Amino acid sequence: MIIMVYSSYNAASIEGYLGAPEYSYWFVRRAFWPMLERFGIVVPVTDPAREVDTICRTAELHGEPCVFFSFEPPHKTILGLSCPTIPVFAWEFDTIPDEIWADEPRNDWTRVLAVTKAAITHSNFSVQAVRRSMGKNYPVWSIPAPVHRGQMAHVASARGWHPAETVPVSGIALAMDRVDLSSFSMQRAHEDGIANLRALAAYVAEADRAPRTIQLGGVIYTAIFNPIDGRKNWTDLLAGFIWAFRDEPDATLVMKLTHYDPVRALLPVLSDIAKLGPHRCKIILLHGMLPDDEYQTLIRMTSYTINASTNEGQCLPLMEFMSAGRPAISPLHTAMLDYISPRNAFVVETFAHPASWPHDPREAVRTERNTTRFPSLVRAYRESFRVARHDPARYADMSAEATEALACFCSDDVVEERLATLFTHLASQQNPATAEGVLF
Amino acid sequence: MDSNTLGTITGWCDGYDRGHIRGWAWYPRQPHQTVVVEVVINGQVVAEAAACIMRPDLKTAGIGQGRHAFAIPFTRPLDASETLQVTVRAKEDGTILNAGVFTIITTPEVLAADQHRASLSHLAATFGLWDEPTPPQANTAHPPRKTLNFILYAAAASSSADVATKLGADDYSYLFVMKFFREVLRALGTVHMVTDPSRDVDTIYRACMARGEECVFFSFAPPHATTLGLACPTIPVIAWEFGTIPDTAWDDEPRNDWRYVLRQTGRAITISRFAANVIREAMGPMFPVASIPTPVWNGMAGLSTETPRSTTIKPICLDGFIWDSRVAKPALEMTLPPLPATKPRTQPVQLPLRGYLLTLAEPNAAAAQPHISPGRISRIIARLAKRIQFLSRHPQKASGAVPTTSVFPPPWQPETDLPPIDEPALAVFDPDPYPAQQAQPPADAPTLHLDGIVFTAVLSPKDGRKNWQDILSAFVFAFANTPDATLVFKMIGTDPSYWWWEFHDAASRLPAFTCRVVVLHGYLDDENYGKLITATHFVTNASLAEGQCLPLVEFMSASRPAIAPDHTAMSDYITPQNAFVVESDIEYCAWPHDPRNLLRTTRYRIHWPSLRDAFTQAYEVAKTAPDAYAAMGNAAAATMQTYCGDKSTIASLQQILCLQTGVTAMLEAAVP
Repeated sequence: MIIMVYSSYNAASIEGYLGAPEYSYWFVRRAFWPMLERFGIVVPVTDPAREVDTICRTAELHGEPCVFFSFEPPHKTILGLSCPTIPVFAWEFDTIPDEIWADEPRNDWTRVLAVTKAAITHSNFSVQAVRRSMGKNYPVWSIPAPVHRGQMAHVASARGWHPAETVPVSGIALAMDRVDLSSFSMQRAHEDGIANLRALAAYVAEADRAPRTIQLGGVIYTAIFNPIDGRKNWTDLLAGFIWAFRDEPDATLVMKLTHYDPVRALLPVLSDIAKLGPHRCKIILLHGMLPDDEYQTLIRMTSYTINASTNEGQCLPLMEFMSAGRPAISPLHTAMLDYISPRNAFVVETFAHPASWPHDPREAVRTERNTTRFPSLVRAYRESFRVARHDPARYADMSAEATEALACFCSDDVVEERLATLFTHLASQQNPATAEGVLF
Repeated sequence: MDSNTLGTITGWCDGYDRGHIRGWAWYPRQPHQTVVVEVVINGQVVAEAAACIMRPDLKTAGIGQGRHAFAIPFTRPLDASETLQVTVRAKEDGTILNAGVFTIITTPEVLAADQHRASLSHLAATFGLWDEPTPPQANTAHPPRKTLNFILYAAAASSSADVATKLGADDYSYLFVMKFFREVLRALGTVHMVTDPSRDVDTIYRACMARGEECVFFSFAPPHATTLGLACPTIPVIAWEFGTIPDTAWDDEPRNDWRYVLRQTGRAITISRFAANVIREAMGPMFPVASIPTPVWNGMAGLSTETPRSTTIKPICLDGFIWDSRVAKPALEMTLPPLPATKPRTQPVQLPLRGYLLTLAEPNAAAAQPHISPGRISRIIARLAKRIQFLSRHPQKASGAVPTTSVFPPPWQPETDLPPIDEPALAVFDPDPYPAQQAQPPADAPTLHLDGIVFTAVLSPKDGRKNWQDILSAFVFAFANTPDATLVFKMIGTDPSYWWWEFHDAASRLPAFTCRVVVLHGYLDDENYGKLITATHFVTNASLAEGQCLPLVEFMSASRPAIAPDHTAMSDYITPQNAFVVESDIEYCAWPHDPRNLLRTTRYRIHWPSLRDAFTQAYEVAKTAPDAYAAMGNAAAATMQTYCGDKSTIASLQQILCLQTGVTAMLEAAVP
C-alpha cells in the first residue's frame, strides 16, 4: 500500500507560517505519519495535482494499491484524481459549509465529500456535523492525532505545586514582572502604538542574541494558542486568571504564543495584561517553536493546562498535556466532548451564540460558537488552585483520569484500530467482493 | 431720633426691576417714620433713597399703611466683566434688609448681546424668581416652613470628541432624568434651571440665603462633569451602570477620580440601588448616597389601561423613516442600500423625540464629527478588506458587490441648516432650556401598521451597551418561521448612519426569516410614542449594563411586561412576575469614558440562548394565555408604581433632604 500525504506546509517551511491558516494541519500530518507507516509506505507529495496520479499509476503497475491522504480542509482538497482521496480535516462547528460562494463549488463541502466518498476528521462532534449533511451512513471516521504515547513519560511528574526552578528558554520569553507594562496601556494615541511596536521589536531582536532563563514555580497554568485566532478566546483566559489571582503570587500563567510574527503575537496580549491592571500573580509569555527539550520541561513544570476556546477541532496542546497527566481547565463542547469530563478537568460553562464559518468571507450566520460564562472560568481557576495547594489526592486522581481519558481518545491503539477499519473500507471499495458490510 | 426710640427696622429687598432696585422697609414700632435705604456696591455707597412709596400689597399684608416701599435707580454702567457685591441696608443703623445681599456678575459677552436684557436677567436670577413680591409674614411667632429652592442642571451630551465617539457614556439621558425629577421637585419647592452652574448657582443660592430660604443644587451629571467649589450644597444625581466607579485620575483632571468629587459634595443620589452600592463600596458604607429612581410612573400610567388586545392598533406616524423587513428583504451579499434622504427638520433644536433623543449639542457635534466611530470604522474596514481580498480573487463578482460608499460618511448631512440654539435666558424665571417639542408630524410622514405579537426595543444604536445585535439575532432565530412575530427597533439619535450600515450587514448575514423586523428612525411625538407603547406586547432589553433604562421603565409603567436581564439597575424592578428574565454573567470591561481603556470594571454578558428562549416563551404566553399575559402586565405596572411613582420619589427626596429639620442645616452637617 502506498499512502501519499500532503499538507500545505512542510517541516522546512512550517516555522515561518505558524499561525497562518491551516498551519496546524502540518502538526496533524506529522503525528499521523508513524501510524500510517504501519499500513503502508508513506510518500510525501508537494504538488498533489501533478504527483499523485503519476505515483498512483506507477504503483498500480506493480500491483500496489494507493491512497492519497489530503491534510487540508475540503475546499482545498484536489478533486478529479483517479487515486482514491481521503480528506483529513479538522472541524469545530456543528454544521459544515453547504453553500457555494465565490464561484468555487468546493466551498460546498457536501459536494467535495460526495466525490471523495470518505473522510477523516478528529472528533465525534465533527463526525456528527458531517453526517448531519451527508447522511448517517456516510463513511467518516473520527481519528484524532495519536499524541498520547509521546507524553506518557511525564505522568509521574504531575504535581499541583512546583518549587521555583530556573528554566532555560532559547526563544522569546517575557516575564510580566520584568516588563514595564505602562508603555502598552495607552491604546488611544497612534504614536504610542508605534512606540510600543518599536520597543517590542527591539526587545525581540535582542532576545534572539542571548539565551535566557525564566523562573517558574507555584501552581503553573499553561496555555498554548495562536493569539490571532479569535476562536482561542485568550482574552477571557487571561482576564479570568488575573481576576482569580490578582493577589496570589503563587499562581503562574504561562502563555506560549504560536504565531510567526512575534510582534503581532505579543502586542495584543501585552496590551491586555496592561489594561487588566496591577496583579501579584505571575504571567510569562513565550513565543515561537520551543526546542523539544524545552517543550518537555514546560510540560513537566505544568500543573494545569488551560483552554477557553469557543470551538476546537481536537486541540493538540490540550491532548498532549492531558496525556501527560495534567488536568485541565476547559469548556465541554465540540472536540472536548470526547475527552473532557469533571473527573479530569475543571469544566468551564459556555453557551451557544450564532456565528459564521471562519473562512466564509460573506460571514453568513450558519453555525454557532460557544461563549464562556466568565464567572465559571474564574471559579474554575480558584477551585483548581485550591486543589493544587490543599488537595493533592484529588489532584492525583484528576491527573490519572486525564491520562486515562486521553488514552481512550488518542492512544496509538485507538488510532491504529480506526485506521484499520478505514483501510478495510477502502479495500472493500476497491474490491467490492470483500465488502461484507464493513463500513466503519 | 435714635434707634433706641425707633426700634428695629424690618424690610425686604425685592430685587432689580426695570432700572430700579426695589423693596420696602419700616419701623414696626414707629410706622409714621420713614427709613432711608442705601445701596452699597463693592463696599462703596452708590445711592440712597427714602422708603416712602405707597404699595397697596404692603397695606394688605399689614405693613403699616403701605407707604414704605422704595425704588432706587440703579445706574451703574454694566460695561465690563466684573462681580458686583450688592448690599441694600438701612442708612441709619446698617440693618441689612432681607434678601439684601447679592452678587451681580456681568460679562462682556452677555452685555454685548443685549446689555439691558442681560443685566435684567442676571438681576432677576439674582433676586429670586417671582413675578409678585412675596408678601411679608406679619406674624413671626410661628414662622412657616422655609421655602425650598432647587437649582437643577443637566449635562448635555458632551461635545468633546472623546466622549462623543465613545460607545456608551453618553450624557444625553441626564436631560430626561432631570426633567422627570423636575416635575416632582416642583411639588416640594421652587425650581430654578441653570445652564452654567459655575456662573449661576451661587448667585441664586446667596439670594435664597439672604431671603432666609433653603437652597440646594441638583447636578444631573456624571461626577467628572460636576461643578465643584460652590457655596451652594451640591447633590450630584448620577446614572451609573458599571461595577466600580473610576477611582484614579487621568488626563490631569482630578474629577476623573469620582471619589475626589464625592468627597467634596459629601453626598449623592443615584437612580439605581446597584449604583448606590457601587458608590458605597468605593466611599465606605456610611457615605450618604440615596437611590431614587427617575419618577416615570405617573406620566405613563394612563396608557396602562390600553392593552394591545383590547384596542384596535392605530397606525403610528413618524417624522423620519421606517425600515421594514416586509418591504426590503435583506439578502446575503446584497448591495447595501443608500441611507434614506432625511430632510432637515423645520422644528429644530431641542428634542426631536420625547424622552430620548440626542442633545442640544448633537446637531452641530454631528456635523463636525465623523459619523462613524473609530471602532466601527476599523470593523467595517476589516470586513471590507476581507471582501476586497475575496473580490480580487473573483473579479467577476465585483460589479455592484463592493459597498464602497458605505464605509465613508453618507451624503446625508444632519440638520446643518438649523438655526442656532438660543441660549436660554434667565429672564425667564423658570426657564426650560429643553422644552418638549410637540410639533405635529408632517403630512407626508410615514406610518407604521403593526400587527401580530409585537416586541419593542427603544435604544440608542450609538451606545454599544445596548446590544441590539443580540436582540436581532435572537428574535430571528426564535421566529424564523413565525410571520406574526414583529420586532420594532425605535432608534434614538439623529444620525441614522450609526445603525444603517451595520444593521443591514447584520440582518443580511442572518438566515432567511419570515418574522417581521421594523426599524423606526425619527421623531415620535407623545401621541405616537403612546401608540407605539399601546401596540407593544413586550418591551425588550438585552443591554450589558443599565443606569436605569427609561424606555423599559416607561413601557412597564404602561403595563407592558418585559424581556430583560435582571442585572445592574434592572435588578431594582425586573422580576419573573413582570418579565421573562434573560440570564447574564458578569464580565470585565472598561469605564466607557476612560481613554486608557483599562479593564477595571464590570458589566454583564447576555446569555444568548436564554434571550432567544425568552422570545419564544413570551410569544407563547401572549398568543395562548391572555390571562397570564395580563397578569404580567399588571405586575409590571404595580412594580413601577412602587418603584418610581411620584409618591415614593417624594418620600425618598424628603428623606434625603431631611425636610423636617431643614435642608441646608442637614446638608451642611453632612459635609465632612
